[in-house]
Amino acid sequence: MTSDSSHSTAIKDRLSQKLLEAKSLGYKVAQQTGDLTILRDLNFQIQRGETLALLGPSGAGKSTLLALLAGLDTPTEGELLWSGQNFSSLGEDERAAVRAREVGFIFQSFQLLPELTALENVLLPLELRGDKDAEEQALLWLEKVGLSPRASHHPSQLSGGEQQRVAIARAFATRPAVLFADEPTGNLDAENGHKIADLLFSLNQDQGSSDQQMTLILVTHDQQLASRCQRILRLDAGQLFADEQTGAAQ
Amino acid sequence: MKDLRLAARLAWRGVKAGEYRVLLIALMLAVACATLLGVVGDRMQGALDHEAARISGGDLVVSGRQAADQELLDYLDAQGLQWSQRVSLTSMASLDEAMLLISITAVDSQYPLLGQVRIETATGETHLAEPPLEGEVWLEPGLALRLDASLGDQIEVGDLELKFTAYLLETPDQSGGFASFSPRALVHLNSLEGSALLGPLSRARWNLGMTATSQVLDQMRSELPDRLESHQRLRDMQEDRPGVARALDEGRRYLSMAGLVAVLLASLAVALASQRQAKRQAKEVALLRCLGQSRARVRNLFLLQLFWLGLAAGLVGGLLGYAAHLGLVELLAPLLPLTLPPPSVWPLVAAVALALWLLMGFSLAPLLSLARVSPLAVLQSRPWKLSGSAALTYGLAGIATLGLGYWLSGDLLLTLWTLAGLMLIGLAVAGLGWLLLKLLMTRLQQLPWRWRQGLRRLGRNPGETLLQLSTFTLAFMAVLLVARGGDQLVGDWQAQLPEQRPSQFAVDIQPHEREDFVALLETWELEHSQLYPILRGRLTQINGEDAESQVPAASRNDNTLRRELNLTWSEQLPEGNRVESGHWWQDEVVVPEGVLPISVESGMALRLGLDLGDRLSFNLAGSRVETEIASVRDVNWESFNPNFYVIFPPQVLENHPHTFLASFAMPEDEGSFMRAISRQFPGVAFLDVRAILAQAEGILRQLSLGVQYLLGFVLLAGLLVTWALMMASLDARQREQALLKVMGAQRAKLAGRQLAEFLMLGGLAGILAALLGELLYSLLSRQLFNLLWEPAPLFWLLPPLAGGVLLAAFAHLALRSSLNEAPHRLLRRLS
Repeated sequence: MTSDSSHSTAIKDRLSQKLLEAKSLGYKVAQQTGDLTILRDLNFQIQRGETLALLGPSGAGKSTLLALLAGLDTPTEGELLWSGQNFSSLGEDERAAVRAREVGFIFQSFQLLPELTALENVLLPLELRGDKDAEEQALLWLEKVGLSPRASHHPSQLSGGEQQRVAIARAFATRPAVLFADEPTGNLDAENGHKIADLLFSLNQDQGSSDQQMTLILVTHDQQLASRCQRILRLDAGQLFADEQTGAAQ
Repeated sequence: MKDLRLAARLAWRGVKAGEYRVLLIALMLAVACATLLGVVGDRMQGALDHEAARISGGDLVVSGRQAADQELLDYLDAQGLQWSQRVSLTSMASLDEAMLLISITAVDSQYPLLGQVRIETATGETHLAEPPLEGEVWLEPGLALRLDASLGDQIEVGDLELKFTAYLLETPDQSGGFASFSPRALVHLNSLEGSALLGPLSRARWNLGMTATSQVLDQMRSELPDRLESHQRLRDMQEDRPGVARALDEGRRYLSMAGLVAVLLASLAVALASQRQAKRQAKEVALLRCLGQSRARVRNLFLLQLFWLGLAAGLVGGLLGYAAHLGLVELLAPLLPLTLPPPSVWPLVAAVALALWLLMGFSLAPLLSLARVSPLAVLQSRPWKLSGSAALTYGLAGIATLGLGYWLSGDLLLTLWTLAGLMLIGLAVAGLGWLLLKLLMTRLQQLPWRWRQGLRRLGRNPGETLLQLSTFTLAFMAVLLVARGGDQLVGDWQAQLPEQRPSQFAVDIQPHEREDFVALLETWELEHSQLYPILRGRLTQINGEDAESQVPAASRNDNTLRRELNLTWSEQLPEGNRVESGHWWQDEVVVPEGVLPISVESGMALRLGLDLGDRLSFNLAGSRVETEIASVRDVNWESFNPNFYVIFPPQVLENHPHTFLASFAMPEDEGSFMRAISRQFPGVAFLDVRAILAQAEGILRQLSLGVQYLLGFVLLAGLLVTWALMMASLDARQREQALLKVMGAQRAKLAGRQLAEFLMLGGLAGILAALLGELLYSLLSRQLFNLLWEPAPLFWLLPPLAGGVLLAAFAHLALRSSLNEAPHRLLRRLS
């Protein structure tokens, strides 16, 4: 593909709201006993504004796929196009720049910085972006997740559910176009898990109504959580064996 | 600029959360110690210069055979110098029947230029900054005793009659060692006017002392020599370093060493804390990278945080160091000049520079490896393993330590040797520790459960154990060395003086008086040295050329060329002397006919660039003597025995005019003895060195206090290293404890195992520290500080006990909370 044609594809993709496209995507890890294939020949597209779940059992390759989709790593085979642009052709810092502009994260193990308070954790990405009203925004998001009274608490003083709510506030605070959530309820009990899922989807909906629709890409092994997304990609042993629309409302 | 502010906020948050506690404290301690050392070092150097100037009677002194002419004095006045002129001469003094040869110093009204005179009058003891009045004389107590003089008596000195108005107890220029015999009688210069004492035949020695600002002094150093007459010469105060200044210098070196050890230990703590910091921040970096920050920005943000931390630690450490210096100055007050140097921002600038330098050396490499952390690390549950370049880590740390050592000691070679020594010690400790650990492991089955478990934990990861052991040992050893020095500085110095010190020196004993003099000392049963013959001679030529032209340029003004030397002969090598090269007389010494073999003191040989076989010509009262260097001797100048630069073989000089010198201990009945000896030997002069000894001892006591003070900092630095090392393995230990508790281990058993492990580790470190520390101390005390090694069993027993208890207590403090915490809560907190 020439640079001209790739440029025109990018424009077309943006117009058609195509966010991601995987073409024969594969990922292998070199080992002493030979190559270990984690992902094999994946082909799919993700539209902007979709809510999508990557569903599969442990070891299916979900987290690796999430890392590739977010540009945290590059595929060893095939291509991954982000808004029509090949991710593999970008350097690590260029991919980081894409993340800084468009991506938010929620992790299974929360990944809050232990030495920072709840407020400071939410502040961090806003400050990195150089937002002038960072503190007001962070407080607003803490309020939205119901934790403003605990703004000055450190993660070790919060329960698991509360820590994940802080992480959600941090992820939403920068109003990312795409939100990746890696097993967001995986470390929580059922009740807390439900609450977190409700919060995640309701905030996602709020965002949708107030701004351009946010894309949510969720990694989970929980069928119930996955079914709250509009679409499910089922993975097993590194292969995609189902691409289903759930009919869930957005 | 935006990132500078953001980094400041991030750093401040880290500080508030206690994240940088160990690193900051270590940095501040290192900076405080270095500042303390720098400022006190400067001031002690000032004190040394002051002391030397006081003893010489001025910062610069012009000596000559006649008084300085008015033209020169007018010139000094015009340049704004303060000056004082004095003259020293010998004369007969008499009172009734008693008659004695005494030395007199006559001083002008400006005397003393520096310091004070201490006298005792009928009304008591007093300090004065003025000379005696015209027509009066002040006598030293020993001299008064020998003349049987009482206050108010009229003493005849030469053709003068002077009133004895005060006992002269101390003059600022008294403690001049053996080279300058202190004045026995002090009079005003006006008293001598018109007297025969200053007649053309007098062998008077004039000294014109001057003080001024250092700028003016520098100008005088270059301008004065052209204005002097042929009989005059300019003496710099640093020549002829007095014994007291030497003690002060040694003390300063000890203080420097103690300070250096504290700074190095604190730097080690900085290194340990930086490593731990980087490990803890790996996930933070991964998160930032995940949030879309480029590698360069993450690196810059962390670099800028380091900059802020360095700035803060530098400023606070610098201020603490300055405050601590005031404490040390208070302790050393009697040794230091009274005027404080004007406050300056330079120590603070230097402190900040040092903090940044240390961070560059010890934190930069871990930080750079941190920037390599992949954003994928956030998706992994296990801790991220940092992979840094070992060459960069050790290279930067090496450069930082070298730079630090050079900055503090000013001696690159010494620094290199010290570091090489430290590395060797570290390796020796690791080797010995490994052997001891192996030995203990063979006894494993015979130990009770707790000890067995504790030992197993040590043996399971020998690399980590040996690293901890080496670090603890080095820290303990450093503390021990400084403590040992502080404790023994005075003790060892006193121990090397004989029980009955020869506190009196008798000179000008005539050959015919020799046997009677010894007989008198024997009658009084006094310890005494052998009688050394003394000849006065000037070194005129070296290898047939004018002596001055043959020596290194720096030594052209050396005293050994400028004045007559005290020469002696001796069959035996004198006590406290050691032949460094060549042969003593008993061995075969072959020299050409008409040439005499001699033995030269090593310091003089070094200064004048002399070697074995060099020919020296001496002028002995008009006759020329040709010699060849047959041996070079190392002399212990602190022994308070008579010592000589040049020694001849026996008999060969007996026909030249000579007198004898002896040293002896003063009997209890001082008065009767001095009266008896003065009556029998009126021409013999005596020098009482008790005041000098007491002064040196006082200085050493104060320096010892100073060392104890710095010991506090060394201890603090040692504890900090222990803490930093403990914290480095804290996370892993806590996790292990939580898991063991989950598996059913009881709290008491875990606590017991932990106690046993740290008692063993600390005990081993203590044993090794005592062993190696003692070895090093015995070497250092001889090489650096001229002290004799004395065994000190307390320093062998204490370290193993203290080491074990200290580490166990630290471990208890660090791990107490995790021992008591519910395991699931602990695991959650650690994850």
